[in-house]
Amino acid sequence: MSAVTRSTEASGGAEIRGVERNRLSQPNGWWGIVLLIATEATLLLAIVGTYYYLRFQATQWPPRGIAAPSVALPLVMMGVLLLTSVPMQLAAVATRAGRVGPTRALIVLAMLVQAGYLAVQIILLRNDLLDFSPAATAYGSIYFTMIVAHHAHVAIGLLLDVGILIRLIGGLTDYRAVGVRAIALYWHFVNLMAIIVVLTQLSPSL
Amino acid sequence: MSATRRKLPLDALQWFGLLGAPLAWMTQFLIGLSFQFAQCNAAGTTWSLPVHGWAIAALAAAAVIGVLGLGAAAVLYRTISSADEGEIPHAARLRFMSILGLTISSLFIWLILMAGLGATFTDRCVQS
Repeated sequence: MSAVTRSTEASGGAEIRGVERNRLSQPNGWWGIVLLIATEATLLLAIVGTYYYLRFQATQWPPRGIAAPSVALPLVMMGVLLLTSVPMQLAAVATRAGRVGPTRALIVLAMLVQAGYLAVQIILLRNDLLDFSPAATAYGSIYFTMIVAHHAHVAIGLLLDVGILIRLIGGLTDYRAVGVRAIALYWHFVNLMAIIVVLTQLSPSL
Repeated sequence: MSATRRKLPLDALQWFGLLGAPLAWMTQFLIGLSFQFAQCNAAGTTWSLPVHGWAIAALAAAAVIGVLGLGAAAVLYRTISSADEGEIPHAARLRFMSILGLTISSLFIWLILMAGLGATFTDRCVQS
């Protein structure tokens, strides 16, 4: 068994596994991201709940003059984003073996796809803004609030990706491995919320 | 430790016993609320949603999960009580959580039944 017991000093696969084996509970980083996910899930689900509350008050949804959202591209983009859970989870698994190279490569791969997703979504959002205003109707208000809140979570995830990649330049420690696992968990949450948000956004056309 | 006891996922029993019934009630509540909102507001004037059908389905599913949660807590309690001292790691915590699970699951099964039966037998879109 490795003599290294501190999370920030355990750098190889054996040392990381040794520190993990001696843990009595989940690390603080894991609890931190779980609490963040709990609060953000509450926020996003409250917005989704508001969408349906407003929707049930209206006989015409979307209101006259606003076209129902197109289905194909948002669904394809959602599928693409969901696929990024795979490299993020594989990166989290790679950290347990102390393999820094594959960890970095998998995060970069996921990050490129996630950045592409956000770029396309921003273009779609701009097109929507040209079609109808967030200030004119309840539909516009809740539609843009929900979409922008979701995109903000994707943007925060990208910042987390960049942050952990910068930390990984200095090599892999157990402390950083916990960071990778926490970020992977965050992306699983963002992707789950993407399903809920996109299906809600498209509900008038489904 | 006996082979049967070693195979039991005690942590999973602990969490399912503690949270299964409350989560089942929450889901039942949200389903019922969503259908009531959908049917009984302006948008619902042109719809005829199966509000009672969904209330029965949600009641049945939630009740089954609630009873399974109660069962999980009971199995955990029995396993801990019959184990020798030191045989199961964190036995005191598991025992405490199993007692919590037994109490909470029993209460939530009643909530599930009362909410579900109430929603099933009252007229839809009529304030009581």
